[in-house]
Amino acid sequence: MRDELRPFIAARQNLYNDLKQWKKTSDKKIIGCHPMDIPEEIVHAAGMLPITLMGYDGVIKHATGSLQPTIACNILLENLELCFNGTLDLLDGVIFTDVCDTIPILSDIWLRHSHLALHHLMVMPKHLNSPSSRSRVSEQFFRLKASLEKLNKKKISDRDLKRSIGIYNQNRRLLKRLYNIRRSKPGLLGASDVSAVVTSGMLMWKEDHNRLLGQLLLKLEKSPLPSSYPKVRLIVTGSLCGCCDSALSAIEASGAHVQWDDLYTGSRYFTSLTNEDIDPVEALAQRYINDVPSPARFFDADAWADYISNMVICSGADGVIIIIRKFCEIHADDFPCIQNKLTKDGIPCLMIETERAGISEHNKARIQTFINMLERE
Amino acid sequence: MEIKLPRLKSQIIQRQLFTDYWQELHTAKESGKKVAWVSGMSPSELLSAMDFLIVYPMNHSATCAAAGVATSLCEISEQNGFSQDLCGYQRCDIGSALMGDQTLSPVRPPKPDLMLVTSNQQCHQIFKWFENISRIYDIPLVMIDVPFLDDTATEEDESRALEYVKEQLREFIDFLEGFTKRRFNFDHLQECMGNASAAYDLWYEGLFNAAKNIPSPISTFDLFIHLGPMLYLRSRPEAVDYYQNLKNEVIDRIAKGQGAVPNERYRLFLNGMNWMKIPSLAKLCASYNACMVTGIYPLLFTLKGGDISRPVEAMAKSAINSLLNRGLQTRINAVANLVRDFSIDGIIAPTIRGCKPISSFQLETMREVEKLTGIPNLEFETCMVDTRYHSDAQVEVRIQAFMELLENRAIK
Repeated sequence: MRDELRPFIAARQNLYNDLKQWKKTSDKKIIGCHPMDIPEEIVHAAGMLPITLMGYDGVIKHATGSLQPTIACNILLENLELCFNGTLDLLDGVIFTDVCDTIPILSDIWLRHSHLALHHLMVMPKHLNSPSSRSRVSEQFFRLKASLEKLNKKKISDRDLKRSIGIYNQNRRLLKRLYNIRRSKPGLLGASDVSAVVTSGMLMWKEDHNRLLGQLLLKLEKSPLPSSYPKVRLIVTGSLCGCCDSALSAIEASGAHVQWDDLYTGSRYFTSLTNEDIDPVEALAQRYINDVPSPARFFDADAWADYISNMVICSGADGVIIIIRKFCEIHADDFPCIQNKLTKDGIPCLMIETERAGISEHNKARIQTFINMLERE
Repeated sequence: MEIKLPRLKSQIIQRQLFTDYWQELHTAKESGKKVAWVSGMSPSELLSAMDFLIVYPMNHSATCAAAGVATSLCEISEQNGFSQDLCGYQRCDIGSALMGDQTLSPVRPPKPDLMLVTSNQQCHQIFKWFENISRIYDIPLVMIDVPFLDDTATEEDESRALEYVKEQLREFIDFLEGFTKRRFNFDHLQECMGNASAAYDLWYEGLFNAAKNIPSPISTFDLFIHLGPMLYLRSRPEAVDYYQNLKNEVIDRIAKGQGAVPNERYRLFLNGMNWMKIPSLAKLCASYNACMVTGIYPLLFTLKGGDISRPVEAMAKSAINSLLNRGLQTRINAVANLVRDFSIDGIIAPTIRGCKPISSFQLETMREVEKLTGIPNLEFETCMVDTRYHSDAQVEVRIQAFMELLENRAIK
């Protein structure tokens, strides 16, 4: 299986060098999308490559002089460092959404230090409870479309946008098939492998990702059920704005199988489809409004808690591991509500905080203990 | 020997005003009045127009900090799953709500009938805080969403934002009519807005701008202390009387050449805030003949009035024009202008743990302000209410070193 997974894993490893090489021979524009909730389909329909900016693991030297490091999460600091150290000069533009308190500020700091042709902040409604807030979603999506059209000096036709929506929907269906295989054939795919597959799709043309995914799925569907597999099955949720590979590896090393997930680089990316039969911008707005509950919006915490609880019940998992990025205030604020709901429903749960260096030995020990406890039950 | 700073006598009047107001709050049920908890930059005049009594949870946390119980209340929140990295105000207030009647709070705010949060502070944690409180008390929460106007915002973005906020204010008025089962009282709204606008003008001219005088008749400490009526009582005529009286008192100090700090030699700017430490910080600075004459924070939590004949438009404009709702460059320019206008020698810039909208960009702002004005700054970490994140000894050493720097600059 390693051979089939190689292109997905490689997509992340040398991303910026590969993009630099690609730029030499292509006249296509590359747009950096700051997590989360950017309608990539609009970028794709403009003929540009949307790539999600999910930080990097190099040294942070400059960003900490502008963005307070003792209150900003690692993804924001790492992305700002990529901006400051020139790595992101290859981009033609960057798009932000105001999903947390720091991103609007980060966007303005970025603007002062970078001179990309496009700098766009999507200011989304903080809640979706009223007609006026819901109509603001499509207004913001139209505003993004207009910015991209201005950059390209060319209109994005409804036909092109519908085509992109179709390609993205196809990608989501394929990813769902991948998740179904993981659930039905535990042990066949590691959680980090699945994360690599999903994440790579945020970094390459969706058409290429669909092709690679199709090949992988054929192989996986033919593969037999592994003879032995872990007894404990878990749901992993959270890790907003980036990956949590070290936590996933620790979970598997402790002898549990990730049955399904509610991760940003996981099912949150593909669960909702876009309606292909209505006005395309309106359809994308509808997808945003009806998407899985998000801590970036308000009045969603109870719905999110219910969503996770239902996921556990439907997948037959034994418990939940909640992964919160250090200094991610939107997630930390919803955590007590989720914890209360899961406890009320009798679902064991463990919260793990991840930092730049991954997860600590202390947290690895907590994961091990949690899984041992579930094994005994 | 501890330095005694001269207090404005209006503080005594304020104490009486608040004693009466809290009495009114605690007897709200008996008098048939409803209580609303609101965020700092909310259009509370809409609620006052319908005879709601207002409580500001942020102010409640500050009061708990001043009484020395905030850290214990924060710990209650943490025991219930709230991260230590979250805003201290939030952890303190939620801790108090979770304790119910057993709260350690010295003022014990009455349970709200309604909560109103407005997003022009661009602080997600306030929304989540209010959401959590509304969940604890099981009462309705209304949110007025004010879109952030960043440094790329165009006139069209601003006009769309204005229309969006106006629409929500109208939706809120409809909600209030349903909630109270009464027609909305627009006449009373205009009275409330008139009082709020007059109180703001008196506060701004009589107190805030008075600090431009050398020596400054007031310190940041006074600015903070005298924000209370602006928050709670601004819709009432008592607020206008209060700020008129305060203005007269300050004019008297100016006429006598009396400074808030005796022998004022250095003038400091406070870029940030720390409720629990403001009095000791002011005294510490005064021991070096330095007066913290002003700061950005009081401007962030006061709303300028507008044309009261078009109340919804005026409130929406006021909401989107709040400094916290504007991009980084606007804020940098605002600080640089204040530093110049108030003849500032140095900036004290506390980074407040958990307060992202004010502290995330402190480093960038201070660097740019120093470039624009040549005025040095001192940064240190603290928390608004939680004593576990503040070290008196470290702050004292850093202020001492900073004052030596200012002295060396003065000699040169």
